[in-house]
Amino acid sequence: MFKLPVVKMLFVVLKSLFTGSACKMYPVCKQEVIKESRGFLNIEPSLCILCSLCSKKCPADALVVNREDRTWEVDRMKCITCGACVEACPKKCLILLPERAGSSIRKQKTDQFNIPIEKP
Amino acid sequence: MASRTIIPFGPQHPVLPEPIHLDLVIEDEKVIEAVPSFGFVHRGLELLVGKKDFHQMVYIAERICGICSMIHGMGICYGIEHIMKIDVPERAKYLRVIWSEMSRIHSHLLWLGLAADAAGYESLFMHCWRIREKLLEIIEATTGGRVIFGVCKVGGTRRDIANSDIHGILITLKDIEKDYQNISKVFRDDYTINHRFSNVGFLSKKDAFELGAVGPTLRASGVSVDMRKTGYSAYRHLEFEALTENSEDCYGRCMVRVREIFQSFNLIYQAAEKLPNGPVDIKVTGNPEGEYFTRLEQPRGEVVYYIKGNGTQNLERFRARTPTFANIGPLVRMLSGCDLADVPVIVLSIDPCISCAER
Ligand code: SF4
Ligand code: SF4
Repeated sequence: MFKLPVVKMLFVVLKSLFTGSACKMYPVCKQEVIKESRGFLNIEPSLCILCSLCSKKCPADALVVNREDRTWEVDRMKCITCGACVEACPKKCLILLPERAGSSIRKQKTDQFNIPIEKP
Repeated sequence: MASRTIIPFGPQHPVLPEPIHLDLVIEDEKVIEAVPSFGFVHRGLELLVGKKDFHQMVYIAERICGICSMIHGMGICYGIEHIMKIDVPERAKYLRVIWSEMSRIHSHLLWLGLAADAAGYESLFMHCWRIREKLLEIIEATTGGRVIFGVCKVGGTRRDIANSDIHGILITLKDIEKDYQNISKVFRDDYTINHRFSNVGFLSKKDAFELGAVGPTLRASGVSVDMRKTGYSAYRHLEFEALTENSEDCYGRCMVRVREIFQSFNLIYQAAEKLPNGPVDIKVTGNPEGEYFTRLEQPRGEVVYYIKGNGTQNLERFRARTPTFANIGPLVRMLSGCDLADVPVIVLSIDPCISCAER
């Protein structure tokens, strides 16, 4: 009774034997980046007007905008790459790049950007 | 006379990395009673609603579970849209169905892999996950996330699938389906799988119904209940039947999932064919005031949301009853009287997601 079913798995196994490995040799072959992916939040500091709308919309409280010091800060460990800030920004200076943020052994990994003063 | 012993089982589970703890009362090799306990990964979601506005809550609801993230997001959006009487564009409804069905396929494939692994079938496990990987790539290319879709928002969807892309996606899906067909035959007929799952974890039709089992656990006992049949989103325009099995055991639950994957492929094809043109979202103004119960079908079963808004940005109450929580009662019934060696398979057969259940 179970002769035939064994053949079925054998068919799957034989097929994959000839189609080659489904895995990539990682460090040798680089992983392809899917360009629609939400990966890494980036800012274009020259466009930012420090309006704080992004930090108000952020569900993870990952953004800190400081008007006095003219800084914009993102905590990479808190950011869930949802894109809410990108949608909220009136100046369209935020973008989610497809690459992933680098790894870190610290619990907090903030990237701070200084916002240049606008030229009159 | 055999004496009784209590064996603590979990929260480190031998098959699934899910933190549920069971006290198994054992006599000889038989489990007389199982006492479950929870609370290892509680996250206090229901308190968060007071701090985050309802748009942000969608992101948080999506993160209740990594596997059913799409349908969690859809559930809260659907509830809020009902309270605010928002008419979601038709295209968005179809897109939601397409993504929900993709998430169902990848959830079931994940489960099938784990089931194969539990039966000691390592190569089958790898094959299931290999197929799933191709689907995850489609999901990432269309939504931007591999498992956290993040496309649902109150008033529609955040992304659109271009009509020109749909053709390519369908071709890839057909390839995946063909690949899966070979594997489904193994699940259906293989001696090892049959031997491991048949007559294990018996749950009669009456018990399943009375204890409130949901999803594949319920349908494998012959009760035809599928929330998609209530016709939420675009399901009312699609043709499908709730799939049931009558074997009432782990094998039946496996078979329901095996067949549901084909059904999901079919639903995606249907939805892609009928996909209307038009916008995918509408602008939402104002705050929700009122309450609503949402019932949707997740890969694991029926999920219930209770949403109450009080006219402010923050919801007043938000509660989710996830399918795993409903399936714990039936699980305890299945466990009493089984062999100790069958416990991992039986626990696995309800597709437990404890982080879902504890929110
Ligand atoms: S992507 Fe989301 S979580 Fe990350 S900073 Fe922007 S709003 Fe916050
Ligand atoms: S919303 Fe845009 S412009 Fe405003 S502070 Fe944030 S990044 Fe700057």
